[in-house]
Amino acid sequence: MDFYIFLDRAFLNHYSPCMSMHPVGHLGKNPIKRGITAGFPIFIGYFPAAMAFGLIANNIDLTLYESMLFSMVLFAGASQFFALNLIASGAAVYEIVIGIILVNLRHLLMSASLSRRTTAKSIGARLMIAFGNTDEVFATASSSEGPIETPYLAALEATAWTGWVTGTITGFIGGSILPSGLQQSIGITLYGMFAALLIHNVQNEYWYIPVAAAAAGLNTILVRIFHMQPGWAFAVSMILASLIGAALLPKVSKSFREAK
Amino acid sequence: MSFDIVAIVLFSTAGTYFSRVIPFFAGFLDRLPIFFKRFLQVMPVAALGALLFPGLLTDFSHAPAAGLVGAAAAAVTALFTKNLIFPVLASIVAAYLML
Repeated sequence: MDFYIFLDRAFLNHYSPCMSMHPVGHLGKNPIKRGITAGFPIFIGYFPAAMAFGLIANNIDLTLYESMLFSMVLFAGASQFFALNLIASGAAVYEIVIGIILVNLRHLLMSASLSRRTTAKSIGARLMIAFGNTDEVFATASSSEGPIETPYLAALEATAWTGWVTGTITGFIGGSILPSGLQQSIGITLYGMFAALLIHNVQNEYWYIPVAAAAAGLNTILVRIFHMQPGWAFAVSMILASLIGAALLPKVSKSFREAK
Repeated sequence: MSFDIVAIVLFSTAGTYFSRVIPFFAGFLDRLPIFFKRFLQVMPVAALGALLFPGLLTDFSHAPAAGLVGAAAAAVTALFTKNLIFPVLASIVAAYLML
């Protein structure tokens, strides 16, 4: 089984993934059981990533309940790390909120794809399955054949959610019992996480490198030379670099060709 | 629980949920211009670039080498594993050794 499910997939944008990374259940079987089975690799992948989130949240002095609130309610891996970074840098609430919403806009495309294959007809069912549509849930659900049943999808999402929330709690508590010498160096973990995510992304798409570099350069200039507020500088450089990337580079994108 | 944190979580959840739920009720998203789809696709990567710099240099101004070496250790580890906890641990150890 290919463990395809780690947080870096949050950035891989498999709007219609063609890889099949887990056994697709037999259609006669109980859809809830199939959903839990399909969600288990996500659980395994989310747990340590969420531990990292809990650890970092602890390090920047969030409380356990605040960390849990993030993971239980927002349930959006990458943007939760963005949030910690902006909170630590002292950005204003509205700047942080706008940054998170921008980063999560990509879910529009995933939900649009999922909505074409779901069997959910009632408004309540649609409202429910939309909540847990993370990148990894989407990739897993899309890799199965045929229509996507609501109980299957709900069980898949619940399994992923459980891994994310329990990992957050475990990481937060683990961060409290680390030796004090190590605690000092934990400030680096957030950047370690971003560096690792970036590597995972550009391994699949080399044309992402200039886009990330453009955003890094723009942000540095805006913050250091123009003394812009960190949240605004972040949003402006992200949008400008994305516009440049969208305009110049995508013809060579592998995942984009697949997505069409 | 701090009011600011609760406000951040609730408002950003509302915005994020909006992105997740709207396509279930509106078909127009199938007809988005391709440029906009590319823009959405590349946005998270641009975010990572902006998150790394200049924060990596300024947050560790007392020991910039420790910050850079920690991030580099994570990047190298990430080349070998898709699991995120190992790069994170590598960055802690590397920064610890440098401090």
